[in-house]
Amino acid sequence: MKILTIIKRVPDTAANIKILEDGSGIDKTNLNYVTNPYDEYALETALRLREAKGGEIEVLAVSDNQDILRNALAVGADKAYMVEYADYDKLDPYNLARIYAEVIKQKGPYDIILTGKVTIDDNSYATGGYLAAFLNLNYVSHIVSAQFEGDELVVEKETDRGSETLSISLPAILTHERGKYEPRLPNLRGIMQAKRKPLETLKVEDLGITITPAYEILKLTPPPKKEGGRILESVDELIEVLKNEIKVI
Amino acid sequence: MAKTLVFLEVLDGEIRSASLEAVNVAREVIGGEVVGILIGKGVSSLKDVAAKYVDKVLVAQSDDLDYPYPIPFARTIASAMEKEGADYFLISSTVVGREIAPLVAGLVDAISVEEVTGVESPDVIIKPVVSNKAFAHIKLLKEKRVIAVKPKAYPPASEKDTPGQVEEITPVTDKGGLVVKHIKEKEKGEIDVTEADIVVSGGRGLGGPEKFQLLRELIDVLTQVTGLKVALGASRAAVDAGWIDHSHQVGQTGKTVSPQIYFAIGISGAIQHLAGMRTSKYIIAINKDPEAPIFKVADYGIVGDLNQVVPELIEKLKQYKKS
Repeated sequence: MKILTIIKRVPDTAANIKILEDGSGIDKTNLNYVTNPYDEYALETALRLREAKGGEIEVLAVSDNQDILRNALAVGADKAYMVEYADYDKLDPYNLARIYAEVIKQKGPYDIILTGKVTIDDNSYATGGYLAAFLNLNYVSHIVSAQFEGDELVVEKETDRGSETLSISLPAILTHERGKYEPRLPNLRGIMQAKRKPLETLKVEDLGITITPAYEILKLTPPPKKEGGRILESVDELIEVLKNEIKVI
Repeated sequence: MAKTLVFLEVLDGEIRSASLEAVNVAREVIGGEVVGILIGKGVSSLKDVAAKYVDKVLVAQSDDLDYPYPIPFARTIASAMEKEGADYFLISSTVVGREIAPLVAGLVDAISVEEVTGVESPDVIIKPVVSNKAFAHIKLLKEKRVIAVKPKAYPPASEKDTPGQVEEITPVTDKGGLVVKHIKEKEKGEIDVTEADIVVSGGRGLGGPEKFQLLRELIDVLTQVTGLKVALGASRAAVDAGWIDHSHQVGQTGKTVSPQIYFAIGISGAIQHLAGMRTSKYIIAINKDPEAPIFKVADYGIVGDLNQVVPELIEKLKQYKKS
């Protein structure tokens, strides 16, 4: 079985994000980068599926830095592909998915492709759906777990209807919600082994893709500022607020 | 002239109000003809309701589609877009919406943007990015656009003077390799946090799972007094402690909400939690620690023991209702 996990390098979620004065982007000084948290759950599920069925896990990122791929190799992935791209953080979801699709065509086929439900930098949910359409794959999004029951891949998802258990035939692409289990961390042995594992660098030009932007970010603006809050002295005062200021009762 | 197809999502036998919010955006911002599409088992019964809001309703009814299977739903939508000559597809950014939107976009070669909180013009949308710490103003450059509008960002569409026409179409029914094995339905009447007007959320400060009962009592009385949709939320700390199901989690690894009122009860206000609720219209915090970061984003705060404040609030709301 061959599994691909697609990961993205994003600013640390706990980081204090500052918007540049001219609104052209975020201030990258001292910014810490991490693997998109939902992609970490996707990789964890990939590792568990391999533990159950055997096979190979490959990881793919479009980036200018190998760090997150080395990390993925350190927790157990077998091979990594980095599509080198300097302004990867400015790529729109449509073009990013086109790049992923081309790599998959050249390096695949894969039985299972896993990635996060959303990338938290651009807040895009599009990768899974685009790839399912571009590559004609079966598709399910927002899963919280996946496991084999015999030869059947069974996934769980939490939706507005409730908790759903579905099975999906392969090949398929699955996008991951926060998982039922936490992603493992690399240990020293893993980190040492990762240095010897294959990491292949690819270039967009060699993939035969020309990028025509599908969208343009005009500017970033800060979220509406909350005026300093008011401390209320009693529940009676809160009732008054609900009645006269928020006007909801 | 623009033409927009809008997906009318059905949940519990009704068209979701979130879908009517997307219809509103199509009618008011994009303009031109607005075509609604109903897909699934039993949707024929909703065609007259749907027709009140759009110029035309496409009804793609099939007993096979007893679940929103993404592939046949998206293929049905993609072929309807082509047949209607629609350049825009709007959908509500629910779980179903975020699943289908990019799939449709891939099929019709469109740009897909989800979690959209503002549609400024047919070409420019606004959505929160980097964990809700900024809003991106985005110009859409592809000819075809798929826009998933965040629930509660817009009011629902009002009824039109004359109802639209109804047309039956044949849906794609190949389920794309997906089989539904089991669905454990939510407790009846339980409202999802993303669709609520008021969210009552609890955190580590509750001290245990039994205190969520207290919050449920507050939800009941708020529902009665306000007549609004009130839902139960939770912080990651409460979910990780196993006190409540993850489907209630608000924040970075949970859901993003922007209700009219957000009650943060026993929630300290970690940055990951704030990411999921800071766009709420009014934030009301109840916490015994006056230094808790939640007070920095709250519009109103009560410093005190929730075990006293919440029961008192419930009692006074009950009295208010009677008076």
